[in-house]
Amino acid sequence: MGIGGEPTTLWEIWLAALITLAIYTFLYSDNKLYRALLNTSIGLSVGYWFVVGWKQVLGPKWWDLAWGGFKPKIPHNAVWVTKPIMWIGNLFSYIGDHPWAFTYWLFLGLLGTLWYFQLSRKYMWLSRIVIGMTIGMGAAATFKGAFLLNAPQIEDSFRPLLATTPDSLWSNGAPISVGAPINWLQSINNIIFVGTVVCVMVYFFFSFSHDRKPFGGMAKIGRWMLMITFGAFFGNTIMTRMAIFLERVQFLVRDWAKNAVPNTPGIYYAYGFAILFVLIAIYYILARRHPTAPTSPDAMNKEG
Amino acid sequence: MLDFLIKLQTIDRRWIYLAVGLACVVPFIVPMRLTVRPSQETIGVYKTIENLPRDKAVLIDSGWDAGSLGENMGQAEVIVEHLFRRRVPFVVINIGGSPQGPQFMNAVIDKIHKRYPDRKYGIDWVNLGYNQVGGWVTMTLAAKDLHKAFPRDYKGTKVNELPLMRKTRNIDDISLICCINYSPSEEWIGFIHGVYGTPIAFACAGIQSTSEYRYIPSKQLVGLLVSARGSAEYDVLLHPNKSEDRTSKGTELIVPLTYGHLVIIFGVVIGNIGYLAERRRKRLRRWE
Repeated sequence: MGIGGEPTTLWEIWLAALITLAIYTFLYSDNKLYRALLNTSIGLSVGYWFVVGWKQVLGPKWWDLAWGGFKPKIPHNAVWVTKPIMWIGNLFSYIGDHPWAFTYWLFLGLLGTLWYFQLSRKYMWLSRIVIGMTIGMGAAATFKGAFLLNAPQIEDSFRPLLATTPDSLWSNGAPISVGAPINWLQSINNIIFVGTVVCVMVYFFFSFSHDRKPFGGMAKIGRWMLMITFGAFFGNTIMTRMAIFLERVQFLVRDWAKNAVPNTPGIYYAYGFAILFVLIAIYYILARRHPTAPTSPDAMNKEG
Repeated sequence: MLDFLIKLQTIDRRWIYLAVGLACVVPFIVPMRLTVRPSQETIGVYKTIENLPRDKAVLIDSGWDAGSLGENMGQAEVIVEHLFRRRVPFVVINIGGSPQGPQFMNAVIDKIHKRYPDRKYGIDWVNLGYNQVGGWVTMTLAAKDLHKAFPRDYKGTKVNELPLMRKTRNIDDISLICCINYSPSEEWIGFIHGVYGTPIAFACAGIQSTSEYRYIPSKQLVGLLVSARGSAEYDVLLHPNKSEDRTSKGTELIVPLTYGHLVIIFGVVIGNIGYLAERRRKRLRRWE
């Protein structure tokens, strides 16, 4: 089954399975077959990006709009030599009908063209005009984005250390007031949260020595908290890599081994095994080099 | 004994690969089930979709492709199923993700559509395809005028000809933005939630989730689907009583994923035992 449940043909399943296995030969050691497939994959994706970029973006949003509009005005029975002349004539008639649109297009076009003056030492200063505009726009957008993204984070960091039970208004519990019971679980949660924020900030505060009494300990706790976070990052990284690997394993076990092989006539078995045999043979020829044995951490330290 | 323990940290990596491979393959051959308990971040997304109005559309920004199929496909499946089931219309877009995104999302919708054959393209959902000019520029434009950002759907039909799009013109007609991607764009939070207050849910790869969790307590995200785990949990919420109906990619992968993780944890533990044993030997040598 392909993505979305569409059945794929036998040869597609075999091809996909063999390429998957060939890619995984890297687990044994680096080899030329793996590198060849890797380069093929990069080439395929670059080609795909180009075609999709043209078909879905440049074509409908630039070419068709900019040039396609004049096409219907050229009669089908026109001689091919006259077609470009008619096309240019239509372009000028369009400019005559829409002078302001043309001025707008010309202004933006000229402005964009200034980028190319980077190729000239003498007139490079012209390109700085558009570079300045781009940097200004980028800086403004980044500032706006960063502020809107982080302001609620800062707001959420101010939590009451002794809090009541959270509600719709106070998601981390309200500060205690007369008569309101303390929610100890929420309070401990808030203390850990605020403590972590402060300790990590102290760790990254380098304007004074961390040897001083309260700050040294706080910086140490901050470092530990960071290490725990990096551990969480690492754990989640494993989950991602494993999920990607499992999707391939599922394909090999369910689609290739279970469906393709048992329902296949004998002749296809022969072809399949022949391909597999050739693949293994190619692999052994290409990867004769003995894989390097992993070194101990001590040896690695000595190597630097 | 100490020598054996020290050797544990230099086990050839290929033995570990083999162990992980076996742990991952066996659950596919011998079907097993594990109890999956939905986490708060998954429940957050579920509850939000469960309470959405039917007269507004959900905007799904889906830019995943084959590279993250193991994680994002299940997430897309459960969200689309929930929207089909509740008959909440949805608009699929792809801002700056993978150009293959629309095709992959179509495949998921086609799969789920078989269970809800009365849902119609153009009325219950549309796929507006890919916009290479990603980031805040297209997001802001789409929020102000979705028709301008996406004048045609992925088939080339003008958006004005699609009934759903005639009533979905800008951010006011959107009840939720759901970004399904390997690494969802945080610009949705800053430029759209920050400005318009539209609720946002993310479905991301596990590797990205650690940096996205912080948006949940600050209410910038209503919830988060993390990797295959998130979709398996969501599947439990969608089908609490009938486990045989849980067919998402996440549910299929969660058992081998768990066993694979156990092997990794085991590897980490024995590696650390080897490390501690080596430290002990060094200490013993110093005493000698």
